[in-house]
Amino acid sequence: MAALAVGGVRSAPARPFSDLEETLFSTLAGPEGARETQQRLRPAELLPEGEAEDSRRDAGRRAGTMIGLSESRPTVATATQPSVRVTALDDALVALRPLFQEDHAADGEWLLASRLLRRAAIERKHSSPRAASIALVMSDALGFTDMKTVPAERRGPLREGFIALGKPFISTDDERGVLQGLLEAGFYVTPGFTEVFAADVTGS
Amino acid sequence: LTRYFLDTTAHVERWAGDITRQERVRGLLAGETHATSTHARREWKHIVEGTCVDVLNALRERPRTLSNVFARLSQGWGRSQGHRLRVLALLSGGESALDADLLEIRARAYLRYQAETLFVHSMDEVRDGSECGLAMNVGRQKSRGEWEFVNPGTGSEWCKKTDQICCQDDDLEGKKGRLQAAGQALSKSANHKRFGKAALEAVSSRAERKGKKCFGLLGDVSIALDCHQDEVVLTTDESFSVMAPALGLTVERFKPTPPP
Repeated sequence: MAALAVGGVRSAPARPFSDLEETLFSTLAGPEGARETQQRLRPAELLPEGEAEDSRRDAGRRAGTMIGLSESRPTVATATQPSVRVTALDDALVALRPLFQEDHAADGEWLLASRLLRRAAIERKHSSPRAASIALVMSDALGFTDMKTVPAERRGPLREGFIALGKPFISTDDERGVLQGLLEAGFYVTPGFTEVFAADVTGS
Repeated sequence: LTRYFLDTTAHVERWAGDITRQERVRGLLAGETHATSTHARREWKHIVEGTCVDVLNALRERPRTLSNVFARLSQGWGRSQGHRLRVLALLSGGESALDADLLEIRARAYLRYQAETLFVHSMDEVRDGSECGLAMNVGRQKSRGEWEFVNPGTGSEWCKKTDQICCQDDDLEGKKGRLQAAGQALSKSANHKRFGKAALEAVSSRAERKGKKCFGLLGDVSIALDCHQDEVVLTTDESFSVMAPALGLTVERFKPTPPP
């Protein structure tokens, strides 16, 4: 998939999409639709009202924008239109947001969100280990759970995880809360042990 | 409605068993809260968090395959090859290809909060009569970057009889009658004689209740003694069925995920 340009800054995926992911993404958004979606749904706009302002400030920091601290020192920006780099986490949030509001999301859409969350986890491994762990546990939950069995009213923990991933600071309580929510809603967060795995790893 | 008391093996099966076992245990526990023991927590932590520490140390050597990681995991007390393999499956997301990034993220998260969150899920009580110090072990990184799994007070993974990090001797003093009954029952079972012998020695000597005797031989007995008679022990371990008549316990035993 071609890198998406938003606000004049190119972003490259942390890892290349597989053919399956490319197909799924194209199916969901279309070649132009993907660009439009990215441009329309910036991280701040993806978040609930209360979180949006924090995210805009965070986006400004990521873009290298300086924000004034007092009234006597007016806000200064490095560019008239600060650019926003679309990260793997942003991609994951874009893919995830519509899913916990829809009743009839296709398996492929869940799979895509799971893959993007996994990619986001790797992206955030060093810069935000707690965001990485939340992204990965949500990816696992989507990957290990048959989402057809999870009605919309039980998808609250996905929304909680989505909100947590949008926070500028994530606490261990946030991490624990997301996992507890997923467990209470009946998500599977661990894989089933298989003989195939055992044979592959032990060589027997 | 059944209130279950989970042995370590039930905890392992509900999170790291095959799909059939996971679904079965989840089905049994659904809709209610249940109980478990601090000794089960100690064993769970050693299996899961101990393996996470081993995995993080193995990753420092830049292994090329998951088999390389598996080969570097130490066995240790109460951590069989099967246990290590189960935890490795948890950390790799069930995938046999090595992704060191994902393995590390999961291992660190398990150490930070996930292992404990999974353990206490659906539990409303972790009985802690012995105040086991090993159940408070933590995974932490040393100055040179190596990971260790130790009790913060002693700096050791295991304990000695002389350590003052639990009150197991006092706890068993108050349970001497049942301890003796469990020991006698186990002594009559060909597969459990040494556990029975250890239990009977612990009846007569406080010194035989702590340290290696406790974590090495008295684990199942200590867990069984923490179970109330109106609860059902959920386990895959035969020793609980052996002790059950003597202790007046009800046991629901199921077959574990087959070993590789």
